[in-house]
This record gives sequence, C-alpha cells and structure tokens, in this order.
Amino acid sequence: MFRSKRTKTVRTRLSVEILDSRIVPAVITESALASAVPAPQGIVDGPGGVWYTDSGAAKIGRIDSNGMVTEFALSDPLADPRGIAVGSDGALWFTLFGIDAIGRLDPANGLISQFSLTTGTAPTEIASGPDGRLWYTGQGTDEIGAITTSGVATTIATLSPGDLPFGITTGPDDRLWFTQFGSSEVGAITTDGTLSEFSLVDLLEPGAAITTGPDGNIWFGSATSAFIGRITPAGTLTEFTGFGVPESTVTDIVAGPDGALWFTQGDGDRVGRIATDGTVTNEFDTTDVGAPAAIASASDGNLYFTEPGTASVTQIATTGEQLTTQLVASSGPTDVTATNDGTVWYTQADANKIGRLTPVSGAVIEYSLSVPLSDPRGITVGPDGNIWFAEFGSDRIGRFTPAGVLTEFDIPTVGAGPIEIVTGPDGALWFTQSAADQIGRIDTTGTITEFAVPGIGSIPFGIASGSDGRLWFTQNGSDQIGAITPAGVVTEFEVPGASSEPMGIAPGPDGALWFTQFASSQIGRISTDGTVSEFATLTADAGPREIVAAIDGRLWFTLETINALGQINVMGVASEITDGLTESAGLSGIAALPTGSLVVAETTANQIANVFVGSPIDAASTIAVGTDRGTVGTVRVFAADQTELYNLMPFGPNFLGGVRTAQADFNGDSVADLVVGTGPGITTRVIVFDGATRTILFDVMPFEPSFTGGVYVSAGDITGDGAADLVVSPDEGGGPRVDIYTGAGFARIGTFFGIADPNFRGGARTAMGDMNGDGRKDLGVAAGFGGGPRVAVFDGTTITTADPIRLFNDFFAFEQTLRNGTYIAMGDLDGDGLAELFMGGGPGGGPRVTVFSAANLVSSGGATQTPLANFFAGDPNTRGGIRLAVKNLDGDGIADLVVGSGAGSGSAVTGYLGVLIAANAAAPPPEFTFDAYSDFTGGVFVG
Amino acid sequence: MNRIRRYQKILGLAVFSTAMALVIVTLSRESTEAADHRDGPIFSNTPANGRADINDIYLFQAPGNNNNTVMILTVSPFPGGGGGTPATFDQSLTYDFKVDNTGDAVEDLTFRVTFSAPNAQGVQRYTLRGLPSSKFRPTGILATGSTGANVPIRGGGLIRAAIQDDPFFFDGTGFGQFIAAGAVAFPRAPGTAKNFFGPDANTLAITIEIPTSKLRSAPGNPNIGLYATTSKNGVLMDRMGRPAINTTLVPPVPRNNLTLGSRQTAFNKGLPRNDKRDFRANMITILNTVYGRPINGPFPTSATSLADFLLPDILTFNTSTAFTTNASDANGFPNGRRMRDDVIDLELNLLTGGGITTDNVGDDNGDRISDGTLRSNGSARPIAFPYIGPPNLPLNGAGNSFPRP
Repeated sequence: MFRSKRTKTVRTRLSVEILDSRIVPAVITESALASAVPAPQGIVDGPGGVWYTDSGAAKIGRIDSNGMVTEFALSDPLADPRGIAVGSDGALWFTLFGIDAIGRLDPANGLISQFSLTTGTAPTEIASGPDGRLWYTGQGTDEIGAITTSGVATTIATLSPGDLPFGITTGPDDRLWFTQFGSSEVGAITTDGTLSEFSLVDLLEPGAAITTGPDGNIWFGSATSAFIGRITPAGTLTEFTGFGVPESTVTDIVAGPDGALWFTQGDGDRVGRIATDGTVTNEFDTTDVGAPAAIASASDGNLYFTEPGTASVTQIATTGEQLTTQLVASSGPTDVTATNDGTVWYTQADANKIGRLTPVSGAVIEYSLSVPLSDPRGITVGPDGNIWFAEFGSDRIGRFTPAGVLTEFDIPTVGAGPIEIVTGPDGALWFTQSAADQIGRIDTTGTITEFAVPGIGSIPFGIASGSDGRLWFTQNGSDQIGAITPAGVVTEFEVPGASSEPMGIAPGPDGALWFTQFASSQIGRISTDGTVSEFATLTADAGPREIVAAIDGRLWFTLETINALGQINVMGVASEITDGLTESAGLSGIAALPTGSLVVAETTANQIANVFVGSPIDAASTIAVGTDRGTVGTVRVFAADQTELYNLMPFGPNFLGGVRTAQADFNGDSVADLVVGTGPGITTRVIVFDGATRTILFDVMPFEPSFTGGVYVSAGDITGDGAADLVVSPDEGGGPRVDIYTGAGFARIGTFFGIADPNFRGGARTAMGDMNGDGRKDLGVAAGFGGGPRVAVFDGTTITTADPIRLFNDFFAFEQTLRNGTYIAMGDLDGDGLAELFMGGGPGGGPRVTVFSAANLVSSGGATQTPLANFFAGDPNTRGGIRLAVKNLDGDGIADLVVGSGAGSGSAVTGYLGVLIAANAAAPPPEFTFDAYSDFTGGVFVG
Repeated sequence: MNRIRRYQKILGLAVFSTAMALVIVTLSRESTEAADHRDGPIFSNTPANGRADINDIYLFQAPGNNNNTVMILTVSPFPGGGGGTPATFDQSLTYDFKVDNTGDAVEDLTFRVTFSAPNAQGVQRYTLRGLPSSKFRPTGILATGSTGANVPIRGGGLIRAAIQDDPFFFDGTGFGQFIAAGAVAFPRAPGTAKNFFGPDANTLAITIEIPTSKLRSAPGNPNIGLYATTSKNGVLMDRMGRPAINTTLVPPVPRNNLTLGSRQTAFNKGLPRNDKRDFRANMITILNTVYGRPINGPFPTSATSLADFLLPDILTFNTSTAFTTNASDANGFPNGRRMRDDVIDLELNLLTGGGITTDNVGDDNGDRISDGTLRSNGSARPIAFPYIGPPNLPLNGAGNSFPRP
C-alpha cells in the first residue's frame, strides 16, 4: 500500500457514464515521494559500491564505482537510519533510530525488511559480529543487542542506566567493543554475553567512533574534543591529543588502506590520518559546513565519508584528493510510464533522477544520473522490456533494465534536446529532438539515426505511434503536427491558428491522433489523412500538457495551469476534474497502467497520482442473440467481430417460446455473464449463466406459477456496489411490474409498478443507464405490448424504495396512438456522460429507432424530447418492430447499437457504431449485419 | 549562503569601488592570458580546445530597461584571425550560463546554448535551453534561431550568438612578461602598454537579455551569482566567474614556480561549491608569497580575507543595481561586471594591496559598445541590444593578428 503518512486519498465521483453494467467512480490516490533534504550518516563498503544511510531523506543509498547513486526509500520518513553494516548474509543491515527497528536491504533486489525492537531502544550503531549476528547499541535502553540474519533480535547485555552505548565494532579478540558516551567507558562483550568495561582517565565522552586498528588494538574517538584513544584487547589505554582544533570532535574513525587510521572531525570540517603510533600525519580540509560524519575504507583503495551538512558523500584518496558526490532531494517527477507488471517509472528533471515506484508495496528506488543537468524528460517502456528515457539536458537517450542497470547513448547531434520518446511500429524507439528540429530513432541496441524536420525552431515535442504505421509528433514552435514514416519521410500538417503550441500527443481509440495545445488551450484531433479538428478546454487558459488514451475510450490529459485533469471523448465532449488533486501540483506527464488506471506526474507537489478510471468490461462488447418463439429456444453469444463464443438451449429442447437476453458481469471476473428469460408458454423462468464457465449462477421463477406470459430481462450495476444486478419484468398478460435482484446474493431488493397503470396488462421492458449524471444508473421502463409507447425513467438511487422517484415526466416515444409498446435501451450517444434513451418500435410497427437526448429530457422534466437520431434499422416495410441493445463495440466510450429482427421479420443482427449514428442521424451506415439463425425467420432478441 | 551575504555587506562599504583591483596573467609565445583567456595549458592556440576557452563573462542591468538583466559570455579568442580558431561556435561544445540565486554556490538555473554545424555562409542554428526544464515550463526550450541575428526568448528577452568586438582591454603582453617569472616589471609605461584585445580584436559572444524576475529565486531577493562553463561530452572544459581568477591566483604563479604544481586545468574542471576546499590554501599561499599580502588580517589587506572573498569563483550581482553611465562607479564590478569596467585595474590593486594600481590600459571601446554611456563631448551613445560591438573586419585584420603589441 502507499505510505499512510504521506498519502492523500480523495474519492471523486465523476459525472462519467460508463457504457457498461458497472459504474465505478474515479478515485485519485496520490503517492508522495520523499522530498526531504538528504543527510547521509553511516557508511560502509558493501556489494556493488559504498552504501550509506540517509537520515534526512529516510533512504538507504549506494554509490557505485561510476559515481552512480541508487537510493532505496524507507517506508517511514521518520525512520532515521544511522549505522550500517554488511551482514554475514551479504545484505545491508542498518539501525532505524527513529522507529526502534533494525532494517535489512537485500542488494540483489532492493527489498527492504524491518525488524522491530523494544520501543525506546533507539538503536544507533551496528556491526557484523563474529557469530554471524549483527550487533547494535541501544542508546535508549542502554543495551547491547544482537539480531540474527533471519531477524530475531536479543538483548545481550543491559548496561547501567545512562551509559548510552554508542559506537560498536568487532575487535581482534572476537569480542564486540563499544563506546559508552554517558559513562565515559569503553566496553567489550563476548558473543555469549560476558561484559568488561574500561573507564577513560580523563572522562572524555567517547562517541560513535570506534574501530579495530591495523595494529590489533581498538581505536576510538571523543565526541567532545580532539582526542583519539587506543586500547589493547587487554585493556591498556593510551590517549592522543594535540591535533586539529582542541574542541573539535572525532566523529568517526576507521582503519585505512595505508596501514594508518583515518578519522573525521565533524565540527572542524576535516578528515585526518593518524598513524598507529598516535602521530597525526595529515589533516585535510573538507567542504565548509559539511560536518563529516562516518568514514569507511573501501575496496577501491579510497576512503569515503558522509557530509550530512552538505548532503554529500566524499571520496578521499590517501593523498587527500577529494571527489564529492552530491546527493539531491527527490523532486519534480516530470513524466511517467508503467511496465506490464504495474511498476511505475518516472523521470525527475529537477533532481536529475529516474525513479521506480511499485504501487502495491509503495517501494521506491531512485537512480541519480551521473551527468548533472541530464534533465530526464520523456520515458517509456521499450519493446525489449527496458525503460527508455530522453535526457533533455545532456543530449542522450538512457536505458534502464528493470533491475536498474543504466546505459546511456549519446545522440550524434550535440544540442538535440531529446524530450519525448515512444516505441515505433518498427520495434525501435523514436524520440523528438526539441532543440535540433529533428526526429531520432534508436534501436534497442542503441544505434541512433536522425531525421531532419523542416524549419528552424519547429520544436518537435510530443511523439506517438499512429494507426497508419507512422510516428506522429507535435511541433510546439511551428504550430504543426508532423508524421514520419519509419523510413524517415516527414509530412507536416498545420494546426489552425497561431501560437497554439501543441505539446502532448497520443493515439485515440478512433484511429486518429489527439494532441494538446498548451497556449490556445485546446485539444486537437488529427486523422491520419491530416484532417484537424479542435476542441476548447472547458476552462480557458487551462494549459493542457500531456495526453493519453484510457480504457474508458476517452483521452485524458493534464491541465497544468488550472491544476486539473481533463477528459474528452471521441465526439469532442470534455469534462474536467479537480477534486482529489493537491493544489498547484504541477501536473505534467500522464500514462496508463496495464490495469487501466492512469498515473500522473505532479512535478511541483512531488507526487505520483494514481487515477482509477472506471473500465468497461468485456461484456459490453459481446452480443447475446436469443430466438423468438417458433423454434427451440436457443441463445448464441457473439464477440464484437461476430465470431461465436458459445451457444445454449437454456430452457431445454422442448421450449419453443423464445429467449430474451441480457449480459453483465455478476461475479466480478470481468467476463460478461448471460441472463436469459422465458418468452410465453411456460411458467416464467430466469437463469443467469457464468459467461466463462456456463455454470448457473442463479435460477428463478420470478412470478406466480400460473403466469406464463413470459418475461423481459435487463442487467447492470444499478445499486452501485460494483456487481451487476438483475431486473425482471413480465411480458404481455402481466402487469407493468419491475423486480430488482441484487447481483450480490440474488436477493430481490425491489419491486414496483413501472408504468403508472397497475391494471395495464401489456407487461414492461427495462434498460439501465445514468441519465442524470449522478454516477448511478437509472432504470428506464417502457410499456409492453398493447400499451402506448410510453417511457418512464426512475432515479437509480430510489428503485429499491417503496416509491421510486421518476427523473422526469413519462412521455411517448412514438405516436401515442400506437399500441405496440416499445423496446428500450440506454447509453451515451453524444458523449456528454449522460445515457440517452434508445427506443425501438414495438411488434406490429416498423423497425424505427429513435434516440432521445438525456440532457434535454432531464433538464426539461421530460417536456423536451430531442431526437439525436431517428432512423429505420432495417427494412421499413417489416412490421415486427425492432429489438435493441446498447453495446461498446469499438471501445470508444460512445454507445454503439445492436438491433435484432422483430417478430416474424427474420434473424438479422445489425450493429451500428455510435459515432456514425451521431454523424448520420437519419441513416447511419451499419457496421455489420448477419443472420444469427440462418434457418429461422421468426425474429431474434438481442442483449 | 552566508558567505555571499557576507560579501555583500563588505561591498556595501564601497571599499571596493576604488580599491579593487584585478588581475591577469599571461604568458607564452603568441598568446596571452587575460580575464580568462588562455587560462590553462589545454588552451593553446589551436582550433581544438581554443574554441572552448572562455574569455569573459559580463553581468549588468540592461541599459534603458531596469526590468532586464544582461548576461554575456565571450569565448574563443581572436576567432577567424590569428587565434587559430574559426569564426564559428564549436558544435561539439555545450555553453552554459549558470545562475546561483540562493547563494550556496550551486547553480539553480542553467541557460544552455548549443549550435549546429555552420552552413556554407557560416551561419549556425542554435538553441537556448533552460535547465532544469521543470523551472522553464512548459517546454524548456527558450529560443531557437540563427547566429548573427537577435532572437526573441520565450517569455521575454533576446538572445544573440555571433562574432563580436571583444570589449575587454588589458596589457596582456606586459602582464604575461611579468607573471612568466616574476622578473619583469609591471605595469609597462604609458605608451608602451598596449591593449592586447583591441581596440579591434574579435571574440565569439553569446548575449542574453532576460527579465530579471526570471533569474531571481524570489521577487524580494535581488542577489544572484553567475558563472559560465564550456563542456564537451558532459566534461567541463573551462569555467569562469570573476575575471582573471585562474590566471592570477591558481598555481603555478609565477609560471615558472611549480612548487604547488600546475592546477589551472583542475580549476577549470572544478565546481564553485568545492573551490574553498580545493583552492583556498593555494590561493592564500600565492597571495602571500607572490602578491605580498600578509596571511592574516582584515579584508582586504590579508591573503586569507581575499581568498575567502574571491572563492567560490562566482560573479555576484545585485540585480536591482541600476546601470549607470559612469564606468568607474560602485554600480559595477565586483557587483556584476559591465563591459567598460576596468576590472584589471581593480583586481591588480586589490591583490597587490595598492602596489599595482593600473596596467596603463583603459577602455578604448568608444562607440563600439552601445550602452548609452557618455562620450567625451558629453553626448550620449545609443542604447541597442546586444550592446557589445559588431565584429572588426576583416576577421584576419591587424586587430586579430599576431604577434600582439
């Protein structure tokens, strides 16, 4: 999970219609990155480099031989890591002074474990003991403790109160030697707990500094003065003074590679060398106010010391030459991407780092780039599974393996200014060179090719892979969109208007490219033939920046200036979201996780936001076709591409009364489950089949056994609990009753008369969709056979009450004189997030389909019935009416329509794409049509 | 940070306006070190490294516009002439203006300029980037244009990258003879002393005029520091803050005294934040043994106080300081640096404790610099970006030929 102390979770209900049986509110979770100033403390030579604890930023870090810094964030910002040692298991072990724990970091995978100690222990320094355990000092409890490599901690000795054991080291005699700051003693303890203590003559207060010298003695320093002591294993003490500034402390001491000991003087900003005869032979000035703390001898022949005052770790050669590695606070995530396993990688332009966040555990690893001001910007997952990113400042392309191995490739053009990167159709990475007016291509071996973009100052910025096999890029400086073939042929298209400053670009579900226009505050769409349309952001001067397609079929984009997220559907209908976002977050990059969630980089707030986007499930795209009366009741279920997925005879081979269908995910497996209801002829029955296994999830005879008029069914999550619910209504001969069953347990949770006249005996048909934009589906009820084409819609939040509330006054979908009832479906056709009413002619009428605007019906109380489309979905001369269902055939978030032949009119199933219905309201072209039952012409039900 | 604050307090005493002095050094055969020209063994007169050799940086309020600040980086001495370097910017180099606006000797803003190869007419395309780009939203690209033209900067201001007149003036030859072994008297007599750089020598120059608000850490903090670097493949080639630090105070001084080693290249590759640690001791020794300053004592008399003033090597500037037409008033160097400021006289005076007060070479730029200053007849010169003068033609003319006078 995310770290609770730094995570803000705000739930936001979006007014977004999701074309499916499941309505999920968007949830924005923000994951803060540690931004405190580094203050390195402990240091040790370990696997792969020098390891240090960073008490300021709560991290464990490593500097490798190339100077590359890798940082592992601790989960608690107050952990306060101090001493660090390499354990007998090869892992790094460190004290967590602030939270009374010992930590372990596995250098192979970066995983951090924490083992709690008694509250108040205040573990300070740690050393690897001769017995394979890690030994630590507990200043708070005046104890010496040991912890096994499996994490079992034991108090070995409890000293006198106020002894304040501080530094600890393994002596030449296999005892653990430690300083006692409070009692001015040096102690020694055997691994079985036998304790000896030696008092210092001058009552100097020995601090953290203690180590075994090359001479077989134990050396230690004073925390209060320029004093170094030497004690033989037998306990003979010698004191050395007269170096440095008298009142400056000896912060740490270690055996150097040169046969002498090296020590830090924190308040003197010095590092010194003392020979085993006690002569201080050298003292070197270190950086002002660095306050050198711990010092370690490394296998590379140098010494390394931490400088908490200047947030640095400095290498010092025995000649005194110093090389400083500056640690930088994490800040400014700029762009994000996600691997298939959900790991989020991000660039930090400001801090010059690449970060890796595992959302499930919250674990953060950050890598500092070796060249200052590399300014990493765009980042993406390559076809090779590695992480590729553009180094805007240093004109290189970087590559990290998932395990964190960095390789960097120089771009031939100095001053390229690479800024965004994407995988192309040719298996290479393509990137914009914003400062050189070029597009670059780098294959996964690192070979770079460059292609010029016409003009000076065109500033190629965002780049995306188009559906036409070209790479598409924005030209921020010249207000153009460019397309480049993998062979390097560039075509440019003008964006209307001057100074629009296009930035981000992403492929949309409609096959076009969608891009942001930062300066003109528009979202643009460019088809692959170069046709541009533009949509203004709802708020002016919103600063749209980066954009990505989400699984809800919409494009999501960051609005930097107004600190909001925007979304737009392929019809150009947009909305903006601010709730749940930190103020002035500095919204920048945005990417989609494999789960469908979005991640957003918040540069200023130094956070990664996770935006959970409601996702349509597969059910929405599959088509269940049931036979009408006159043949063995059969259901065939087709995928959106019309291939058959499975078929059933749900009520046995003897039932000829017709099968009414609906689909939704009842059991949460993301596979559409199938609902079937009987037509006339037998006692009514409804069965829910698991769409994955075809086992029965629910089987009910919903009405009294004597009623044999048949039922209609609809399905979807109307209760808002995440699981689909079931609605059953009688067919002709029954009253206009509506029964609601919860998908969670299939209890009947509501029943009412959906048509105001309970004496009406034509039954009712139902559908679900959010008409008022409250995030909950509403229930539409249409009169059955024998009634007028009357429609009522009930607020979904009230349908389990005794008296459900209508959203608006009932109205007649067709001529009031007709007496065939009407078929009904619901879904958002115009992209405003509200579900339109799709009405189909009842039996006895023509196959007319009329779609009524939800917005106008709701706002007018039902008085204004605005047809968004009105057409014959089939031969207008047939008289079987038309059965219909709303589907999501193309994944674009706009309601698509599937219709089935009415009674006696054949078995054709025809699909219409919503975008084409909207564009051709009187005669939309069918996307497909096929005969579901080639030898049957009695009509079909679709659901 | 307190460091910088401390300086400014000292400067407030105006000790410097008259007492400051400067430096320079030189040497060798056909070339001379100067403000930062030829400040190290790698900068011999070759077309290779000479192009990375920073000459000077200037930092002042824009004449005629107190909302803007001007930063000028001059590089590659005598381009296209006797310097052996071509009259174009090296496209393999990265030219950085680094601005510290928090006083910790670490740059907070970097203005990075890079060039394309020259076309047949010698014109180069170049780009100005603002780094880290997170501070120059939304793109980080501030300007793109061609050499020889004034190019607008996104968000306000202008940039020009071109060959220009070198405004620097200094008796480089005389000083070079002086510092070579410390055996030749300096300054040379008036009349004998000659400006090594003019009046008609050329330099490559990058001039940036930008709203001051974009340089400050906060509206209420007018203090900034500037240093410039050239680098190649991510490796520092040269850097400069105040004029003539490397040439006068980094071993060996004099050039034939290698007691402290040869550290000029190390200085050029160093970072200001490490300057005190790495060069303070050397500088104190040189100020003491070469320039005769006592080790301890009050500023500006002692070697220690001077070293602590001059390091880290960053040109500090209070951006609220008006651009005045009097080149010798307190509004200029060491508070920023104007092109007519006689930084050499100021620095020599300072280092020598008044022992050397001038190199007997003064501002000879005349109307070349379009900064609104007054002519001897009292009329005002025009004010026009880029303020620095146009190049002296032909490029290989007398003003850019060797040997120098």
